[in-house]
Amino acid sequence: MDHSPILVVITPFVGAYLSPLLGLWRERLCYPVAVAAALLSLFFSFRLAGSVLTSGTIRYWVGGWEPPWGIELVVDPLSAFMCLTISLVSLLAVIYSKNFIEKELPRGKMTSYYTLILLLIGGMLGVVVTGDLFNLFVLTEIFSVAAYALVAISGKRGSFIGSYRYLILASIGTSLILLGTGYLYIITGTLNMADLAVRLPAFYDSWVVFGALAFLLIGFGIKTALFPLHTWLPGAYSIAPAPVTAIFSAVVSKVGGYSLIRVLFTIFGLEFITDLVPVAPALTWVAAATILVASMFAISQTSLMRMLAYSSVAHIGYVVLGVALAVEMGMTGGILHIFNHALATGCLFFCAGAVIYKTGIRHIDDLRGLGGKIPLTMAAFTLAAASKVGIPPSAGFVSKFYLSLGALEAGEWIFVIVILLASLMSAVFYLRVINLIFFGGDKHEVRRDELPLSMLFPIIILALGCAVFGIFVGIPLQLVEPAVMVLSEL
Amino acid sequence: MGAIHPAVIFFVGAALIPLFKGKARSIFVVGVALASFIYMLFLEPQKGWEFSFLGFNVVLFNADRLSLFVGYIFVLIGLLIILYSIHVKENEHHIFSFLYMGSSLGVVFAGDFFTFFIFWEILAVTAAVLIWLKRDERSLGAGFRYLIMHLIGGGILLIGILLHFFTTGSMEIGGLTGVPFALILVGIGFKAAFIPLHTWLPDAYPKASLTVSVFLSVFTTKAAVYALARSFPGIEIVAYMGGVMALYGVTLALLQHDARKLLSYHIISQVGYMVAGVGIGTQLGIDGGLSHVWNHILYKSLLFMCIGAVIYRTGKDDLTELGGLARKMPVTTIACIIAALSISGVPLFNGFVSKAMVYEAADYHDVLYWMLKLASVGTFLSFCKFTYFGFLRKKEIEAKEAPLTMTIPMIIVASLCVLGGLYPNLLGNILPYQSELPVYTLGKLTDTMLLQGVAIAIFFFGRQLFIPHRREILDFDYIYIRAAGGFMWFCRNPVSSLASGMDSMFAHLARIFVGTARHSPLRVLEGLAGWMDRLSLAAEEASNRRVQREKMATSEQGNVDVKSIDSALFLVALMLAMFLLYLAVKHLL
Amino acid sequence: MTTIVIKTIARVLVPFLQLFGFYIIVHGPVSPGGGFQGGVIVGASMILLALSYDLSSAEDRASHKVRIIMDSTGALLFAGIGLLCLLVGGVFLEYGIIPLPMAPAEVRGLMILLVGVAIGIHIMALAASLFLHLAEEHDT
Repeated sequence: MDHSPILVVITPFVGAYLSPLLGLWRERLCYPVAVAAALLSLFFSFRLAGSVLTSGTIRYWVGGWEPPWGIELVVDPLSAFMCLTISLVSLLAVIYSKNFIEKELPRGKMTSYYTLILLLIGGMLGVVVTGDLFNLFVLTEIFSVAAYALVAISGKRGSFIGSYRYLILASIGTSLILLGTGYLYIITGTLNMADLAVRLPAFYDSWVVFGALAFLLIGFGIKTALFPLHTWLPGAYSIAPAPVTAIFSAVVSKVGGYSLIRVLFTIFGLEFITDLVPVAPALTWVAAATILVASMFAISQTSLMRMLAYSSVAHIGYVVLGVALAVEMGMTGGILHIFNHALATGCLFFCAGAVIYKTGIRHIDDLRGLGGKIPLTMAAFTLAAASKVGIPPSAGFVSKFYLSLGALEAGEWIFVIVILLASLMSAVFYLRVINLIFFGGDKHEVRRDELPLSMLFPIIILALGCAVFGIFVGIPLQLVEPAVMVLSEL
Repeated sequence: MGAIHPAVIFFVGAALIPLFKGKARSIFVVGVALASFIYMLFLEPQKGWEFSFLGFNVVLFNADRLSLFVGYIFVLIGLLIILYSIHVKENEHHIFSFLYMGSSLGVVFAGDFFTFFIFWEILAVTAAVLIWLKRDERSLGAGFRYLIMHLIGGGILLIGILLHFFTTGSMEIGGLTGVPFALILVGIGFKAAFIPLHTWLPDAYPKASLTVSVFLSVFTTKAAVYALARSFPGIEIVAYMGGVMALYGVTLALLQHDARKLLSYHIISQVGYMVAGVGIGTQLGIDGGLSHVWNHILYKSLLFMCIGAVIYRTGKDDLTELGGLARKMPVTTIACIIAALSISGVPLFNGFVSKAMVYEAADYHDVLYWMLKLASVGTFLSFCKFTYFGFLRKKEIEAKEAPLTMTIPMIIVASLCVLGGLYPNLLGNILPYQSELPVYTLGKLTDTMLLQGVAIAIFFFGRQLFIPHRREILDFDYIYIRAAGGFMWFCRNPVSSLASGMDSMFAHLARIFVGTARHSPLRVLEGLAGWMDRLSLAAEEASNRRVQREKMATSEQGNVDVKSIDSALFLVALMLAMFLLYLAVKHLL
Repeated sequence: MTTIVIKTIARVLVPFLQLFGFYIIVHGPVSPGGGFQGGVIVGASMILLALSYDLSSAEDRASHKVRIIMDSTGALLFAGIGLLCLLVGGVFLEYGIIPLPMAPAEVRGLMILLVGVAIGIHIMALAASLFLHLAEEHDT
């Protein structure tokens, strides 16, 4: 019996409760605990991925109780894929935090920071491995609460309002999710996802089911930050500390997307969402609007963090677009983009954090000539930006290529144009930054001085990932392809 | 695996450049270029480096006669230009020029559309970086526009390729029909500088550094001509587009005063000949177009080298300021005259040979034939202008002969130009169809001499007309820049004020609802009036650009307004209401 | 507004509240209730103390440090019992498999009791913290 499904979740939680204990004694011990916990859960994610690949979907009955009575953890290829992405980015973010947190946070916040970030990680990992709708809701709440606190943790001006605003909106989302879950429970009497999928077809003509679907869609739509429900995102992202923002944009909003996929494909099923109620086609249009509008917003930004935030809204649109196309190529592209975008956006936010750490600069126009000061960081920024724009042979290109193929496969050529237009717009705003960084002359008094190793290492790893996974596409596809198979069969 | 892909030599070389310094680097750089040249000479036509990806075959390396022919000239001229640019001290320059050349070879040896597209994009990106390396405001802007144009072209090409893949199920180059045909043609047209997609060329090339513009003048457009020859031989529109390019390029070239801008417009014009030859599509036409690629690369890079040497020594590149160089820089001047004679198609120089082939092929298309002939008169005129005002006329100027690393490649290229003219069938063996045309016939000679005599007469009697003036010549890019500026304005003003306007309007609407609950209906009216105010206010804001921008800059950090919570709440409520309405309607039906 | 009436009632009530809370925790395996409910009641008793007397008297009995230690210990104890089941070859929280000299049902009951106590400790600290931590003065 392989216990990785529970271990991957429990490790960050154990770390989260160890660190306040140790923090009372020696504050500096929290960092190694957090790194160890994140590293362990990455290890278990790898084991999980390995066993999913060899023996198919894993079902783990907590306490030995058979579902639908007991809680079931279900790890299919998609879950394993998400686990890997989450634990990889989280590990790097935790490593990155060391120097950044010491400098940017007020004294005495270190313990709470590492506790919260481990809770965030644990909650997200829990969401992706659980096979129970109510568990999914609870764990969503857990990581959301940790997220609200992390947004406000810097205690700077505006961080409380930003966090409050995030809290209000996201709570609306979670309440709607709870309502939807309740409706489904009322009508079917079960909360286990597989069980729900079996029992739901009998109630397809019931209004309660439609209501539940609508609530769940809007609820997870807020979590995923789909236009026009994205308004909480840029504020929260630009206020939170950089490593947290990196986790947010790389995985937190993707976990919302993951839940959306679970609800649409695992619970309701392909037939229901495409034929009976055209939710998936509607979602493609919402995603297309998200992509275009967010790109236009990003063009008009003057702050680097906000620009990146809007750009990541646009990229969530790609993920949802690909999945909602509900064809093989499109779903492959969408799910692959979760990973590729996590690499790129994580790297970009790390770099933006590095700029803040080194110089305190937040405005794009002030970036002029930084390429000569922190060349490795800025080279990584360029690589990641190229991946986000989708310049071949970067990782971002591959997933956009799949997405375009998917749009053509679904006969929706208009989305190919949307993808192309948005890529061009992103080329405009990323090129402007890169231009200033490398060729914009020199006006800083800072001398050439790279970052501390703990910050440089995650940046380099992610940037290399952007390049490597553009060429060796087969590695993530090993998990993505079976994930698509599993989803489209259901 | 088969033989090593020649691009790999350049890519690996680029990766190793940072390990060397000073002299060692110069030797290494030239050594790599020389190695690739020698390696290329022994390359046999073959297919290799195939693997399967996404359900189609990716062929990284496909060498046939056509690609080898273009490959030869690319590595040959690459070697000479690298020698020419050896004085540049920046590592980045050498690294990116290696990547640039490597990706152009990647395009040439691509065996399928996917590989082709990937190298096509890298070619654009590396070229833009090369332009940016000048590091001044002008080159920044030009490189930016260059890259955006090429990315648009690349995107169109990609859609075309995807559609092609979807309709035929194969990624092989060729066999295009319908919509993908048009899209791929336009996509390639961006790089081949079709009118009106050419604006990046005269925009960027004069603004790059002097060595970079030599590189650029060779690879980008010629890779596109190669792509046309491979996928669109014998398409009539393409042939006529070639004619238009030849005429349009030469006309605008005549009006220029910036020496490198003049040469850039001539690239468009000369590429027009190649495109015409390829578009005609007969064996002679394709061979003519391709041998024009070969010859054009020689004399055009020589011209850019000459003007580069002049800039290197005098720091000037404006025809109004140049002149009097014949004494000061004799080698450069002679090389330049040879190149000018070649490009003008004077007998005994290589331009004459390939142009004769294209004319011969175009003989059956009356309009096209005369377009090309007319363009050749213009070419001759503008090179009279170029050499006379740039080098020969009497003027005091501070200069001395260029360094040996510059003159040696110039001498080599110049002698190749002459060699090509003296032995017109030298290329016959390696041309794809091995066509040989007796070019030095009485008819052709008299025909050419007549035209050129006319041109010389026009130039010397109307010299006043050709004196270079400083003036801005509007091209299509005026429209593009206006359109792009409009789009940016649209994003910065209406869109962002729409966002903030939406926020405040929703907030107000929410307040109206609260008001209705609390007070009399009169409050609603009042609220509505306030809402109308908001609308007109938002419109006013949209028109006030600067205020808006400052406001955005200040409201960037911190001041998060709580209003948008209301808006989000309202949106959610609205969605729910709509959903309920939908349910109700559906239920009633 | 703390009058002698309130203080007296609170002084009488708090021990009974806590006793009731512990009762609920301990009876978790056999009757309605359990760690969460009991923990909340015990935590609420601390809140009552803080409301009727003042913050510092509640802080004296359950200081910030103590709450953190209880909170973490409770959670870790719970996770520890779960992981113990893994060590002896069962799945997470599969109590019955723990080799003790008792019938499996009895082992199960014992372990549920332990888990309940762990959760109780965790929750009582948490519930008290929710109020006390917000009411504490912060130096930011």
